[in-house]
Amino acid sequence: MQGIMELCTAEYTANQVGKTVYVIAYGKHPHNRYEVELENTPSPVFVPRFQLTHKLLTGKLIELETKFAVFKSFSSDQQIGMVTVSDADGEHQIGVEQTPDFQIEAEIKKLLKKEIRYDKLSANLASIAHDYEKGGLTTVKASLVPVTPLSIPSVGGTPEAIIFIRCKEDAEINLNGVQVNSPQGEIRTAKISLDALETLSQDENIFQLDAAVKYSFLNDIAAEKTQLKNFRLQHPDLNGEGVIIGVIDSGIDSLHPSFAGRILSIWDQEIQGLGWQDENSPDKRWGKKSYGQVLTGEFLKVSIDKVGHGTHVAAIAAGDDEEFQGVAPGADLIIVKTSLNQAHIADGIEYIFSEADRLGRPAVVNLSIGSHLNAHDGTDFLSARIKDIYKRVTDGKIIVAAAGNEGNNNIRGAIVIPPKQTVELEFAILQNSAGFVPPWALFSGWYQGNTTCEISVRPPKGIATPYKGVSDTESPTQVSIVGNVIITITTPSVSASPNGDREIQIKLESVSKELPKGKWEIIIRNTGENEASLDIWSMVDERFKDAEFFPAFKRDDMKIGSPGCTGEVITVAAYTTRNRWIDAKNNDRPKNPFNVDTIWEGSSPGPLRNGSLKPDIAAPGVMIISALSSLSTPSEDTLINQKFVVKAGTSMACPFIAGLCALLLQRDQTLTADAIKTILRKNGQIPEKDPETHDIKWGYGLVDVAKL
Amino acid sequence: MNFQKIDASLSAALHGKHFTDEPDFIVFIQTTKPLDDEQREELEKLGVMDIPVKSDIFSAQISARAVAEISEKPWVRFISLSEHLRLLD
Repeated sequence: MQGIMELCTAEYTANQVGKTVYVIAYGKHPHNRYEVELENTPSPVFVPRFQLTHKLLTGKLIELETKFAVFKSFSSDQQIGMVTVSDADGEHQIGVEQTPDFQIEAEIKKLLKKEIRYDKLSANLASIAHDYEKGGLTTVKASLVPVTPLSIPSVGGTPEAIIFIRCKEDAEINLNGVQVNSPQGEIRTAKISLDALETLSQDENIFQLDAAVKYSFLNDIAAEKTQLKNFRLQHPDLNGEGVIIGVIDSGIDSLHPSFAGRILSIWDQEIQGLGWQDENSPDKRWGKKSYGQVLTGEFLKVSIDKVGHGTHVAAIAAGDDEEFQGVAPGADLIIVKTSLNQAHIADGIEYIFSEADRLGRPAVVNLSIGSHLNAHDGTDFLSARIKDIYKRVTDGKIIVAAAGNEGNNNIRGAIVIPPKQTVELEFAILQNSAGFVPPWALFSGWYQGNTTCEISVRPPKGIATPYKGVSDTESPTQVSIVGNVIITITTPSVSASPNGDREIQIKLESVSKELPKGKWEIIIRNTGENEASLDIWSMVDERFKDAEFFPAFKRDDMKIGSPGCTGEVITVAAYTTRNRWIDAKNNDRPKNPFNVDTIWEGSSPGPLRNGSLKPDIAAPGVMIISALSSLSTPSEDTLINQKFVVKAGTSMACPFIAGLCALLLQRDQTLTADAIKTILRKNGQIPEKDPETHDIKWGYGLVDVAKL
Repeated sequence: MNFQKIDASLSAALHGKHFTDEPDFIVFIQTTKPLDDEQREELEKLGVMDIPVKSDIFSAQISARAVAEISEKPWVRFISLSEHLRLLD
């Protein structure tokens, strides 16, 4: 221990209860691991290269946060624990053990200059300031660069740092050496000269300053879990350059710096314009789409993303940012802002592939969207359009789709109806946590085409509708009004179904604001000679609680709708890499129900209704930090800062794989969807399962990028 | 109207509607094979414009009356209402 002590210095101020005390130990050893024994401490403290800050307050020990070993807030009697920081593969893992007898007793040393208000500085920034004051440029360069986006001038000049500023919302910050990125807001980012820190910290409108920590891909965790980080180290030339990533979604904030200069075009389907004309392919194979407007260059900003979903998704696949980097930050983007209508989504795929062909580039299309109003077997018409598109594209054209988020939702039911018998399938209309009940519900059911069933519906405490049977010649739709509910039952001919099965569709619409709560029954009379196995899915307005099947009828499989059920697409499940984060106001935001390092429970399971295996692969999707559209209004607790927001779902896992496809296509432009599926299958892994084992939730497991 | 070619969603959407010429329905149309020039012309007269070549499935925004007429064409297999999807976050 003595030998190690010689390599380090440890200086600290002593505590006075009720006041803030800093204990800062910093090392000068070129390696990442230090052991520093603080005076009068019974236990050694292992300190990484950066710094260890013990912030002593009157409160209890509340957290050990960040991998930089920033230790906040100890108990008033100064009982603290032993901190160990070890170095594993370049990453710092932190463990804490309580040692109640451990007390700090030390003399006060003047460690820091008076002029800087260190009480406003985060530990990270305080350490930067301290090193700079103490040793100037050399010290800063030696000890802090790896964790902080610090710009060191090569010749002369002052180091600059990217920082967060917590201040009064309307504070005017006009100081030499400070470039604030936003004129308003309680949390702002800025690029500052370290010489300006003193003046900045003394500004009474500024409450707190924090160094922006430099993260790696997807805020580090997702990249670590998938070995993407190692892959990038092994293949520094692969960043998606030359590949097009197409995102069909809610649009994009084209002014977000993560996409600077890499958005080739936006087809905004929701603004009136000239549409899109396929003028370039030799046989005009894609035709003309007479709606929306294609935007390029300075007109990109005409299209906006108020929802924020598309911006977040696009940056996971291809965002380029010092802190939150996407998977393929060198790829170019083509964006389709969609109305979410299936036909328009198919048109969007054609547009992206057509543009890619025109430019002679490979492309991957991201579809973080879905629906359950289909047979869940890849025979719906969007799936059929995708199959048709694949007949007309060259190699190197990939589509990736999200599996869906209904893993925990009781939206799927099933029942067997013997021939000549009648059964009742029960479900409940429920109120959500705010006490609201959905105004409508929709059910899509499918059974074998070699029998026929008649359908009736009974509301809670109501009378049942007349039975509706299959009709080949007349309208297959029957509308009944029971109480204040319009009940529409549609039972089309088997001929109208591409998969040869019979479909039933039931729509419940309240003539007032809400459907009656309670137990409903779908009454099914099998009039045929063969057994019928009915698979059925429920849908309600997404702001409300699902219509849930009773336990006897509930099934926890086959929840991957279209386009995730399309055979040709790569379908992605979501894996949880994070269940807590620090929001823009420095609040700890835990998501306790989310178990980390496993498949996300909410990820929709396969297989398909025809037995085909889905999903294909799992990727990080919970909770992912990515770009924030400036015109969106996310909830405050999900805001990381003014440019980034945290979101969860298979929507977020899907673009991870889309970005990965771009890296693979950069390496080999001729890869087909089947070839990439094979690569992913061979490099997926489910914990404690044999390689290439498929699971209805995991697919072939979490992709191990390092092996690709 | 040939209901044997129309899926449940479109059947329900058409139920009780007056057959006007307003193009209220975005639909998928699947044909038995890629259309020849004569068939394309027939569909264009019914408002199905800009059909991609060599394709047996395409989408169009058409009226209820057009749905009824198209469903009677022997080379049309299915007509399906194009539904809205959801974002999956």
